[in-house]
Amino acid sequence: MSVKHALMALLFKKPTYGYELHAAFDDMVYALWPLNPGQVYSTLDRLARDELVTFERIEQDDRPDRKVYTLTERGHEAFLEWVRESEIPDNLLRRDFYFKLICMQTAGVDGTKEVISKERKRLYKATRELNDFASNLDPEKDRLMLLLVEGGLLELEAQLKWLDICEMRLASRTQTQNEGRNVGKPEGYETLGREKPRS
Amino acid sequence: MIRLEGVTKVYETEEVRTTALGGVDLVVEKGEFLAIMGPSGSGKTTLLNIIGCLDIPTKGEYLLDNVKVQSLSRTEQARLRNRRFGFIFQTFNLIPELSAMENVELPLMYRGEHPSVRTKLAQEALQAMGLEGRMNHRPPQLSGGQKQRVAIARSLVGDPECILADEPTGSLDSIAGGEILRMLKALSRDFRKSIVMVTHDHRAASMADRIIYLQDGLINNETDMRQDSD
Ligand SMILES: Nc1ncnc2c1ncn2[C@@H]1O[C@H](COP(=O)(O)OP(=O)(O)OP(=O)(O)O)[C@@H](O)[C@H]1O
Ligand SMILES: [Mg+2]
Repeated sequence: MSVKHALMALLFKKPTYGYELHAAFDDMVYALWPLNPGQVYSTLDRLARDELVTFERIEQDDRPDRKVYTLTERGHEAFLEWVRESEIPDNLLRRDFYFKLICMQTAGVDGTKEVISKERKRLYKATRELNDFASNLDPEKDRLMLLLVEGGLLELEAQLKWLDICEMRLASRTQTQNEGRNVGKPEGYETLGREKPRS
Repeated sequence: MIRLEGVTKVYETEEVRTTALGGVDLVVEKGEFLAIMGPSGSGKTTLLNIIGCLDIPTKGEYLLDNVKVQSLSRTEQARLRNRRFGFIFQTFNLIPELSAMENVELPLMYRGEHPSVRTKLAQEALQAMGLEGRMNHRPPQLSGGQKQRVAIARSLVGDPECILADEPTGSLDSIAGGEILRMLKALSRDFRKSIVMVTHDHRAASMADRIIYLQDGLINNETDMRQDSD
């Protein structure tokens, strides 16, 4: 999770005043991640230095100048590259993944389904590896290790279930926008209590 | 090879019309281990029943090694089911009055095999499941994991190409369940049996080559564990 990517997400659609970014950040994370204004500005400075954003001074009559920030072409690319990359640190994985989802929604970037698929595959792989590892352990000698593994497997299972829920809820919102690859157009679909898909 | 094209299944009773499957396209290769997941009522068992020729699609096509299953007679379909498929269920579906041996011999009896052949094949199948010491036990005298191993032996004894399993670990704890899963995995990997397994358990599904997720009678997503990450 990084302030940098949150700010890039917020600037993705339109240029924004520096002071507005802080409030927008709070909205985005439900104020659950407290930031001070200094962090916002130092992050913006670093983004400007790396040419990921540019800014323009707007003169004010009786107050200090305001800066309006714009994500550069390079900034757009860097943000999209970050969205697509798959390395997520193991520990905070779930929150990182969630954070990526809200950044994508905020920026209005497509591809939620792909990001979820990729994450799901990663979790299944990790589950399989842990399972294989567990099957080679001795129930007596390795019982502490088996406890750790069991905990890991339960966490992975919870995350997989949670992904199913994410996909279900997000898909029902974007369905008309973007039909998934594997989704067919069934007969009698109306009886399922859903909107009839357009062909 | 199993190939489903636009398979739809509609159940009609006097009051309601239920679309159990809404147009499923699916290919299962020889030796593939496929897991089917999805919420209750999403059509998993219906799909398994169609694959196993226990039910026929309302619309769409089912091709088994390029033969249109719907165009066969009832008897031919039943023959196909007995020869090509083995079934495993959550509740084992063994006959409690019969010994493990006799349960495993049953499918061969329906097939009209000679008693001596039956005994030999049933013994081999039970041995392969590590049950040589339990052949004369009746199901009530066996643990859940052992019962399921008898059921696997029964599904294997006729040498089918494909095993259809509806929540095979649903009644077992994680240790007994893990054993069953490793056996199914070995059957696909070492004996090139196709395995189609319905499960609610992500951990069980992670053993498969491919996982499809059904929702409202449609394949909502698919995870292919054989391809490396893109
Ligand atoms: N013989 C039948 N007659 C009428 N409706 C049926 C019949 N069999 C299944 N259905 C309906 O079709 C839908 C799919 O059922 P199915 O048994 O395939 O679900 P499932 O995914 O296996 O669920 P579960 O996880 O609970 O076993 C359900 O709405 C069910 O009520
Ligand atoms: Mg079912």
